Amino acid sequence: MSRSLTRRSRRLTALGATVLAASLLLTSCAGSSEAAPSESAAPIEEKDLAVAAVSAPNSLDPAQLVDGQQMFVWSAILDTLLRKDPTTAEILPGAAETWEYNEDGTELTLKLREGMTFSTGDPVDAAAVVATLLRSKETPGNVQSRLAAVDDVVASDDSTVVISFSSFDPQFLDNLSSGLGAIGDPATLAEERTATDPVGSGPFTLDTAKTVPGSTYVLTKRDDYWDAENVPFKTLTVKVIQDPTASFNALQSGELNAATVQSQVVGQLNPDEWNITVNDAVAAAFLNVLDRGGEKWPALGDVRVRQAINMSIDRESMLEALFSGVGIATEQLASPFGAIYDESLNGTYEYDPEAGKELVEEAGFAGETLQIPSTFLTTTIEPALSQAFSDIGLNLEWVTVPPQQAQGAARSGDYGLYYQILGFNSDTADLATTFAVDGVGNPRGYTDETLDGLWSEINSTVAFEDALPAYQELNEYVVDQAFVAPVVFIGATWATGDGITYVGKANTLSTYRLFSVTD
Amino acid sequence: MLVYIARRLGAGIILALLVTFITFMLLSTSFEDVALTILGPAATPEVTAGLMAEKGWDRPAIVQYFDWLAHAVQGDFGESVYTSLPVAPTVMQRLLVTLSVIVPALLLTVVLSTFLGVWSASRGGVVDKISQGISLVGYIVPGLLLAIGLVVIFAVQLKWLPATGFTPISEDPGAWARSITIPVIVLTIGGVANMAAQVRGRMIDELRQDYVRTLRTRGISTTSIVIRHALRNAGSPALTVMSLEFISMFGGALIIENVFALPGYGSFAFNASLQGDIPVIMGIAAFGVLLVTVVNLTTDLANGWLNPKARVH
Repeated sequence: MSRSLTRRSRRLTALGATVLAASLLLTSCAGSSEAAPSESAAPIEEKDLAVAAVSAPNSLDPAQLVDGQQMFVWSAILDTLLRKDPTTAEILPGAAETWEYNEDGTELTLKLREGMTFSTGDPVDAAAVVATLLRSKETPGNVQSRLAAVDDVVASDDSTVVISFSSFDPQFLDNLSSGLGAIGDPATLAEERTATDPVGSGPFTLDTAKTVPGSTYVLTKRDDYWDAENVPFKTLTVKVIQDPTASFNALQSGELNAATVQSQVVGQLNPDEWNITVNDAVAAAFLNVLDRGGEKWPALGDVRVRQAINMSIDRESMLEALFSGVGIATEQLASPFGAIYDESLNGTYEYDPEAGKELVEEAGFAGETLQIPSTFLTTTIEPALSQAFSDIGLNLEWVTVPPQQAQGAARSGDYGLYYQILGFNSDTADLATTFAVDGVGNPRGYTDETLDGLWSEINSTVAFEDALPAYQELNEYVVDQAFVAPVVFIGATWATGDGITYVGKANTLSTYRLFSVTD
Repeated sequence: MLVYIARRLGAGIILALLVTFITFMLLSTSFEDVALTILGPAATPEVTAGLMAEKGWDRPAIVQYFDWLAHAVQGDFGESVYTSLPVAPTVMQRLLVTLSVIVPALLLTVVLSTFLGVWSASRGGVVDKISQGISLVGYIVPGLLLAIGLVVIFAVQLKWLPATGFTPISEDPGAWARSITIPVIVLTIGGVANMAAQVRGRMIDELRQDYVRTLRTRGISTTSIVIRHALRNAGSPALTVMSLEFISMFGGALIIENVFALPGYGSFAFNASLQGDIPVIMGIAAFGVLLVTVVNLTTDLANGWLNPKARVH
């Protein structure tokens, strides 16, 4: 059992970042299977894993895959080209044994393993990867946008795939460990079953007789899977349960042996039967300044006002009161387990509403009212944020937005601020999502000379360790400019039983690899 | 009678048209959000616009509604934009889950309410107080609390019944029965609390009527008076309460489905609304209106059968 409190977690965080940085330094732009995933020397006793997920997969079609907890089901059926280490988030070989970029990152060569098969017995070869990627590129869906920079995908031989890009995409390798990297069976991709019961080359097959779509997914291990010896589960059952109380009841009644639990009820679980593991940071909760140039909301274009907003937030109190103390107060968005994270930046904006008020007055925006969408995510934090703004002489006006229109509201340009919770993806993606000129979290496409220079360097540097100084400088710059007002890194508490342990840390991609078996 | 049925069905269809039209118009501002749901947040405005044009979502809302209607009358309600599954079979599948909980709960509610109502009205005294006490407790205890309490006792502590999930009856009738037991008990207790009081009240009124006194003076047995005469007359308003109870149970299904993680109609509708899955929401609205129409019509016909004065010619 590991339970981290703030100060201790920061130390662990720093350690994690160091480990990751060291591991990244050992990995150049080429990867290999030398670092094979979760190799184990002794045979392991297989268990039945039954895990709760808050949402059912929208579709199991490789072109429509959504990450998040939907991944528990589809990643069990569809193998991915690459993987990530659950603890360090290091990119590891998957179906692709090695990968190598050319000098300017416009060509990526993936070498597939020999002897992989789909559940039908057909071989997994380069043609299957090419067919899947080209189909996803042509098919409107969640995966399509991640192939925007891809010009072409070709098979140079049975086990070699060459992907050419219009320009280097720093996030592409990471994406190959999620939905983009899923491999479909070209013989059945066009069939209707692809959305609900696809043929895959992953470690499990869907037991359709025991599966109730939208509710319970039962998956059975494939003994002919290439990495079967490292899959410690005979079956994987994914139960879709949105209500945390229902999930907790299912856990206690033995229907589940792995689920996230609310920290308030952890004490009800017998420590002799349950492993409780706290991951202090799985997502960032922050106030995003959408109008950084002050085009519609001039106050937000003034760095003093943005800094004042950061000073108005009592992060530690919010962490305790609104997030049950599970998480870490933060003033930056980079993952605390990543290499970009800089502990010294915490303290840039100590809670000081008086100083914030002076900054707002100095900027001449005292009394200004700012509109912000009120969504299902903001309900609990609205009073605290309204009070924080009021304390520095600004007003927040919450405008109710239906859940299905929340994304559109953020992109509409109508609002200067937006409260969001963003799950960690990767060091290369997390900052790009919010600060790149074409980032989803930067709908007005704000940029400046410094940002342009840093992104230009990042987007033309193929090896991550070479780009790391630019990423770190970028992180420092966006904190200084207060383009966002981070609140906390949200944590998650996992309860696992039956000799199963949760091992996720820096990487929380929802796959069976988040769990290990300890007899 | 046939004309009456046709007229009621016609009114139901008009109602369905109105409800679906209003629903579609309210949703018509969300097509861009639907495109974003399909493409993901990283989609560029150009790609989003391209998909909207491809799907015809850039056309005027009224044109799109009649397009939807033209397909719907042929049984084609389109596909979910989120799962790509056809709407009609999916709605039916979810409906069956909810009905498999609601129908047994309703039957039990009717039987127990009738028994309790008749028992307390005809016996009075302590029996009446016990019956009213049961109704009162059923009213006071919130369904959600009751559900959680029963789960803790029967699923968590005793492990007799599952805490969550649903097994189709076709797969394993025993497991199906176990999976619906606690939801059915919760819905039944709430239903009985409401309906038993209605039956009791009507039965007391009926037992005070002149015809009852006349029957007694003619030496007709109390059982016959209560069951064959008074209950039949009291049954008419009870049927109306039952139909309302059925519709109310449908509304309350969301809570029950959430607590027991049942893949039913309520949670399906809730998620579709959260995701802005317009074809699914339209399908749910259409099926919901038709269901209410059919339930109301059936109630009216049953009322006519029970009470000749209520018959429509």
